[in-house]
Amino acid sequence: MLSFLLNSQSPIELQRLWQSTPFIYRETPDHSLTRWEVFLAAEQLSKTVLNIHSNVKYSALLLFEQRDYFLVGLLATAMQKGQVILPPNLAEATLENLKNDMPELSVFGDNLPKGLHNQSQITSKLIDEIFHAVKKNPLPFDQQRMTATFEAIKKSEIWLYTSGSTGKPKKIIKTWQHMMYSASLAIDRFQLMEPCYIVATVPNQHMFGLETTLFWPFFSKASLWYERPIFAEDVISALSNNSIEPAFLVSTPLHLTKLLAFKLKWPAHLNRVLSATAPLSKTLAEQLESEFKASLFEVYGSTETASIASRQTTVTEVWQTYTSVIFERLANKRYAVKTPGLKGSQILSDQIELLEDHLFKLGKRDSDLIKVAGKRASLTELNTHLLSISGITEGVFIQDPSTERLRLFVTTSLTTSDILRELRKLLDPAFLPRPITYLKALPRSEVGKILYNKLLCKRPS
Amino acid sequence: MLTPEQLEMAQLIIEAVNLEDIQADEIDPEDALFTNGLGLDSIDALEISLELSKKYGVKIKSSDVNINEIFGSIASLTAFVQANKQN
Repeated sequence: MLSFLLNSQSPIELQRLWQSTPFIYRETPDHSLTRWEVFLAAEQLSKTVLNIHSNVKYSALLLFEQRDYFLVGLLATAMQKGQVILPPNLAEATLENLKNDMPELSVFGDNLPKGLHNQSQITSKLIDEIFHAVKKNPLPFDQQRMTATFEAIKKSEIWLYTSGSTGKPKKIIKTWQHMMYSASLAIDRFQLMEPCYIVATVPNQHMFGLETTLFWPFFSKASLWYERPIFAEDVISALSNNSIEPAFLVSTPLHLTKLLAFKLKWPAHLNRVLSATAPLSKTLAEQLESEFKASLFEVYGSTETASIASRQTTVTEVWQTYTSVIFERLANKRYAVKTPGLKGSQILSDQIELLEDHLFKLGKRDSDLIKVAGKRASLTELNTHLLSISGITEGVFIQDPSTERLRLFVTTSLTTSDILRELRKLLDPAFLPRPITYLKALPRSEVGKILYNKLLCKRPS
Repeated sequence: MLTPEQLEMAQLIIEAVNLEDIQADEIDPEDALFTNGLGLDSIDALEISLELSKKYGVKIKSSDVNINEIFGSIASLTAFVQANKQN
């Protein structure tokens, strides 16, 4: 399974890459971690801490934002033959459901939300102690042990959640095997077997973040900044922390647009920007390329398939799939996709127009699925939550195309703070409505369908 | 009760992240801005940092200060900006 990593280099080169080349860069060079140190720390954590849970199937909720803590948790749980849970958000209702399904859930994180106070906890302090011990007592690189471990954990599961069209969060189970195969295709596409440096503003807990900040760099020659910078100054200082060229900035259209507005000087070695999670217009892509002085690539994929294609938006609107990605034609202009490592085939939620085997254009997305700040939800699901609040007569969420944020149109006697207080219990903050418009009734057609075009003309009250 | 500086901050946040349904003087200065309070997210924080750099010349950076505390509430954000403003 690791052949893509092993075949491309000699044992000596592999040892140098794993044992002596910095992989995760932290504030100072002393704190940087190699791949082998991450591996050893995960082994240690798995053996000494997680082993006590041997009677039940080990489930770990990974909340760490920092890449090194997250990766150690991810790998240690797999070594423990456990499953990793990546929550869609931290809303009370979400956490309650997870705990009902998995009462023994261990939580990897600091400052836990209220609903998780009684769960067993792995803190960053503990992982830092393990890093310290591993650095103090370095064990020699052992290629056989490394490959045997990755072979042994290939069936280990990572659970991600996405909004299904039926409105209930849908669990998507990925295996290490699929994530590693999929990473090998992206590594090939973006030439990550040449030394390079990745700074990412996307969270570990979503598919695009999981791929770009963990699986791609772990199994290639890319090194990684340890934090998830949000503020413009932090993004620049993360990039400047390392002079390896090319540097990649991995982000979303929303975040990139905001960064553009700061009018800052971007480091010269930043020459690749990757964007995913929402479509980017050609105009914005041109602005971004000229501001960053870098080539901007959009990455296409889904939680189910991981990333499968990319395009340089300023050059073409045609997407090119990674090698070995195959489309199967279904009825109704739909396609299923097959990739190495993916069990069976997966139906795409977008309509596509296939131009050649590996080239396609994107059609319309199912209008029920929306994305705000890189987070996906179904409007049906959001509306169901809304109507579950006592005191709401009727109401709908609509995405404002100009701001990407959601607007809420509602008939109720509740106040704005009442509505927001209730919604906060149910939804990720990204989906809270801005603004709310109060109506006597929703405008409807003769057959009772909501007239969305009339709604969008209404001013917030 | 908000001080004049806190009220100005509340207004800046409301405009920056389009919380038109909330009145600045209704906000408790000690209320959490993120997750449980006003329910802002990281993109909002970025947006607010842009407005703070334009209006006060304050550069928000998470690495050299305790960012979670600063962004904890209107009161803490106002105190930080007043102590660090350039214009």
